Amino acid sequence: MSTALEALDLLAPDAIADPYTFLAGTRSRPGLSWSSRHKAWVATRHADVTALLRDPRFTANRVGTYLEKHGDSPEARAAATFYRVAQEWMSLKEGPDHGRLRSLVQAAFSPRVVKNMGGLVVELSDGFVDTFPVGEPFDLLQRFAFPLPATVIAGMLGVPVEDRDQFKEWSQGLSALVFAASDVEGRHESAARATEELSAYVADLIAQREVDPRDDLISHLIEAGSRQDRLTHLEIVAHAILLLFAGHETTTNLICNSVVALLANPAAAEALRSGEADAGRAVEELLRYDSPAKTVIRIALEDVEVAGTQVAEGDRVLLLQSAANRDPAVFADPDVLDLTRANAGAHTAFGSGPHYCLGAPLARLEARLALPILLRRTRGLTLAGDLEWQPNLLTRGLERLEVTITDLKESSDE
Amino acid sequence: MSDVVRPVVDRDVCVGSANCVRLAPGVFSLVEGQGHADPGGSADGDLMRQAADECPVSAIEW
Repeated sequence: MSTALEALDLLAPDAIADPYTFLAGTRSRPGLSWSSRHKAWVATRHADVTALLRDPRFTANRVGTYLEKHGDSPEARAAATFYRVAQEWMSLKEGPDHGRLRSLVQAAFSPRVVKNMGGLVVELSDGFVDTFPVGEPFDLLQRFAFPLPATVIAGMLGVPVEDRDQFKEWSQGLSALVFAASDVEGRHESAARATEELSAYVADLIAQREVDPRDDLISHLIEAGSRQDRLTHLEIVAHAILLLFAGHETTTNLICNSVVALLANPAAAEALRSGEADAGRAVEELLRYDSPAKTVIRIALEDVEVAGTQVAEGDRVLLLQSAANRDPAVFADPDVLDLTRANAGAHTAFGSGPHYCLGAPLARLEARLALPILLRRTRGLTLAGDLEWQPNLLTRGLERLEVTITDLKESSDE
Repeated sequence: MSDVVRPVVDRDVCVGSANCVRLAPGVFSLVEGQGHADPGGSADGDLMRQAADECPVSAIEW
């Protein structure tokens, strides 16, 4: 029987501040554990998390399942606009519908296509570093970690980059529901409002591209919608929103979490700065060490036995990537940041199976190029404030990242 | 006359995203959640190239 984990509260302040210490004892418990706080089973071992991510007897459609049970609740009604859009997202679909939607965009995010964007990522990274003030605190999230991926995804989609700050605000409205910030007051209303404004904004862009198509993802979705793939207008709106949101939110967190990890490990930071550590491998270890993705939710489509535990049809399972990525059964000295770790790539940060992160090649490229640029061009990079982590279940991200630097090098100095 | 391409999925690298299965279901399949290429391969070299290109972890080679 599960006992201690029954009260497991993944939204408790110490779980939000440091999920790794909080979860350290959970992997040794047999089977899955039941959390009465979250009304869900909890999987913490790497083997269980990976197997569940690929298990077709589970669905990612937590929104559909939620609406079936609670569709008439005041919260669900308050956020009806949000749920109407989110229900269309490929990240929540399964089977042929999921495949049809994913096929339309997977080519745009393939490693080969993404590789061609390296020059842009370098140019943007340097440009944002150029704006850093020397000798006074600034928010690295706002000045670097957010605008870099946001500019890249805006360009891919065909969203005017000058509207970047506006869609950051909308993204924040969405994230309380997308990332399950269960304790945030008024989150249903703000998510609905953000969805409404974002939908209107995107519908406007779609109308423009319908008469004047360009070489961007929104035009591509419109074109696909008119062919045999038959995308509805709502599907196009929903996926433009999904890509805009997913295209920057987690990468912003990856960059910030990586900077925090590197500042706490000066030898690793120096190895990455000097080029002694391979940046690609380093990013895999940073993804493992403090992944922006903490938890994935799956729902059982039938009665299933998992790791000796009976899971009933309709039960929710929380797959804790933050526990799996520190599983000593897979990673030796899991709490040590080791940029040369041979099997760091076995992390679960991008998930696994049919929902494996569509944007993984892009996120990897952005982090691999941006982090060394940041380290090479700044001197005396130091934290200048407390770390405040977003209080949600699914993602690990900072509210802001206050830092100072003592000097800034020209990009040509290197 | 077209050459038959025989792609191989590196099972250590494959993450089971099934991008290749959607592109070329006659050649690729998921076996226990892992990508698998039919040893018979395919005469459609362009499609096989596309499957290799669109694999998010570049697990397809020949």
